[in-house]
Amino acid sequence: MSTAVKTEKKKPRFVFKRSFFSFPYIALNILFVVIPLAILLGYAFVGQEGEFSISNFAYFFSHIENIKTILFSLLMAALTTIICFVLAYPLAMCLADSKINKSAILVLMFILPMWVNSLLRTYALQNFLIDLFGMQRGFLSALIGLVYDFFPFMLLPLYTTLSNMDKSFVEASYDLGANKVMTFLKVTLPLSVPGIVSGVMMVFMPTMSTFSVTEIMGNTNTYMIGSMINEMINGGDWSGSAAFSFVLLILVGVTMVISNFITKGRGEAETGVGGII
Amino acid sequence: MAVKNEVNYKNEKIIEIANITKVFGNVTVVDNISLAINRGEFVTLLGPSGCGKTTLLRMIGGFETPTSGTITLEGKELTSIPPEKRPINTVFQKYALFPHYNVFNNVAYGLKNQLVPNGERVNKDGSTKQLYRHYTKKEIEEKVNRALKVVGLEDYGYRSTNTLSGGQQQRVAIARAIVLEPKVLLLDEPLGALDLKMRKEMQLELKRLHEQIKITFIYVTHDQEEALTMSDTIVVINDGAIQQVGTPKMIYDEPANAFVANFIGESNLIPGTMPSDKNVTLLGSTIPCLDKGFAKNEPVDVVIRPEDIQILTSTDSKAQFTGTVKSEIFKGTYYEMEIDANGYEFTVQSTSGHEVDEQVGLYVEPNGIHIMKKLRTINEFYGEVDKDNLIWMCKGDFDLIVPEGLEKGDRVKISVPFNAVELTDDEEDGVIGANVTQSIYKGTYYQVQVYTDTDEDFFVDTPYEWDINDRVGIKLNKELVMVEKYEEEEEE
Repeated sequence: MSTAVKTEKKKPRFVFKRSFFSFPYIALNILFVVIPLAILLGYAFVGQEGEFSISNFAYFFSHIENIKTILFSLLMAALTTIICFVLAYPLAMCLADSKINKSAILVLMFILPMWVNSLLRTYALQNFLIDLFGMQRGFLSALIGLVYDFFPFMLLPLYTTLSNMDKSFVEASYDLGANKVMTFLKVTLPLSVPGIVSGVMMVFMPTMSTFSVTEIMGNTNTYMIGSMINEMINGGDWSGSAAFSFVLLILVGVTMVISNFITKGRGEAETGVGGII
Repeated sequence: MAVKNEVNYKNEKIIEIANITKVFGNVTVVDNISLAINRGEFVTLLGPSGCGKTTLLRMIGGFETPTSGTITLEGKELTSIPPEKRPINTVFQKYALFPHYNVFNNVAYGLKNQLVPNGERVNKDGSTKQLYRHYTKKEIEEKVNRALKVVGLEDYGYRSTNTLSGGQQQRVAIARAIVLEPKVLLLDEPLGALDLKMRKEMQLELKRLHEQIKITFIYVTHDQEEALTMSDTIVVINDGAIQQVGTPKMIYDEPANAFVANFIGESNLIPGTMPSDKNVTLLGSTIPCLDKGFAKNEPVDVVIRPEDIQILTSTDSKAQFTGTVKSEIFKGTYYEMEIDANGYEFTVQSTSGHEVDEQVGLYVEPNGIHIMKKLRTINEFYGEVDKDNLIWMCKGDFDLIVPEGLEKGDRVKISVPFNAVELTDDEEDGVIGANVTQSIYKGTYYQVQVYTDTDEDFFVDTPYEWDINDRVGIKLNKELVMVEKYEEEEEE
């Protein structure tokens, strides 16, 4: 008791709190995210003579090709996400089953490509598919490239969720008379929603804005919004590219809000990873 | 609940477990257990953690497949039937309530999977086919509400499971299992996560529930008090083997061996010998008891419960032992005293207290003395002669006295008295390493059981207390160990 009283009297002027550790991150965040975004927004509203103008946005929405490119990017991102999910979910289930996957080495094998620069990987795939096997550059090769590049980002959150899931839920389901299919549909799948949502976002968002993969693996028909912005920057049109980037940002933001809404509804389950925001 | 068990023969066997063994990797968790469970009984599998009780339960539930042996339910072999097809339900240790369903849907989960007979269809060729249907919404609602009422959670159906307290979650888990009217209900340490007060309440509630719904309960716990409170029959398990099966009173009053005596309740455990029937010698006194049928001067373990010892004045001629009170603690309804008599520290419970340092006499009625056969009186191992007076056994080279005329490679039998084993704190200091699995205080020494990496048990008498699960090294005192040539029996 007496020591507690003493410390209360000598109240130190400076107390190191745990929240202080977040200050460097906040500073970096402001410097490299908030300020650039503000600059981006500023540029987006600058007209050709340097005046305030919404002409960049007007240009974007008045040209049907731009809308088409956006829709194509959405389609490409959605397809990549769906294919990644369909491929990764069964694999994640196998990897999470300790009877099949006795050591974590198998998981490492699937995560290992993430250690290699994505540009390098994409060029390797180009060499392999197009140069070696003579595949035509186009929609299919671009899609393969996207799936190949973003697959680990889908696998990892799914694997984490499924391997952290308490096995007694599945056992309880069997115990209550549900067969394997019912148990999967009514227990495993709903409980892995948080992992699915993070996987979907980790694949969907970067695919939406990518340009390197489609440029290396695709042709002029696989022109995505990322390539468009890239070209505008190369052409010195900073204001235009800023406006386009801003549209892309809003689109990605909307998808995030939607998926967060989905997670909130179901993801109260304490089963490991949640959504990413 | 509406379990129509009009024929509720208490003596009809519902589950028969025959020679069940379960091996994980190279560890035998359940070792050749056979057990019959009667219909409507409340059976508790009791034992320390890691003794195999949960594995046994999981094999009955169908979540583990036995390595060998069979389990039958009402005469039908269960071993190959998956858990979803067994008329058995489980209340899991951490409840395993589905977090994405509310209370009502958790309880309804099993009902939605169940099929009920729905008339017969007559085929063209005249044969009939049994038809099935799912429960209707209304039937499910009725059943769920009835089950929730049984566990006292009538108005909680709409609640999300993670807004419930531990005790309430527990009740939902029970409702979810009993709503299916299983033939057997398995409960895997269901009260482990609750606080003491809640646990006591739930113990009585479970007992009441069992009487009400008349389903066979198989309950797993490591809490001896819980087992004594609730069970019709207790099965004490240790090291994957059954130590004793009996009613709570039988287990408490007549423990079969030192392990049971030590595990169930507080007890004074004293080594003794049987000079003749109905007499036992312990701590230098020979006193009457009720046990007979032992060999003359057979070494035994004697159990005396703290409440069975009467305290007399030190001059009383009835006194069997005289001693000094070492400590006295008031425990609410009784006093607990440590009394040092004939070199043994007795734990005594009495309604009247005695001053520390007071000289007292102790007396135990013959029916308060319980004689148990010793589990083992000597450690026996088989090994072979290695070079230079070394014996190779349990994957270690022990420095022992090898009798004349034996050569390298000869098979030998090694007899190791309990006091010839020396345990070392540092595993490296011993010849081989082992885990401490049991430590029982026997008055003047500890009897410790250690388990080697070669699946052998060493019984050790040691003046020191060793912590269970500690890694220790084993050394042998070569003066006390006997090595003999071992002729392999030719049985072919």
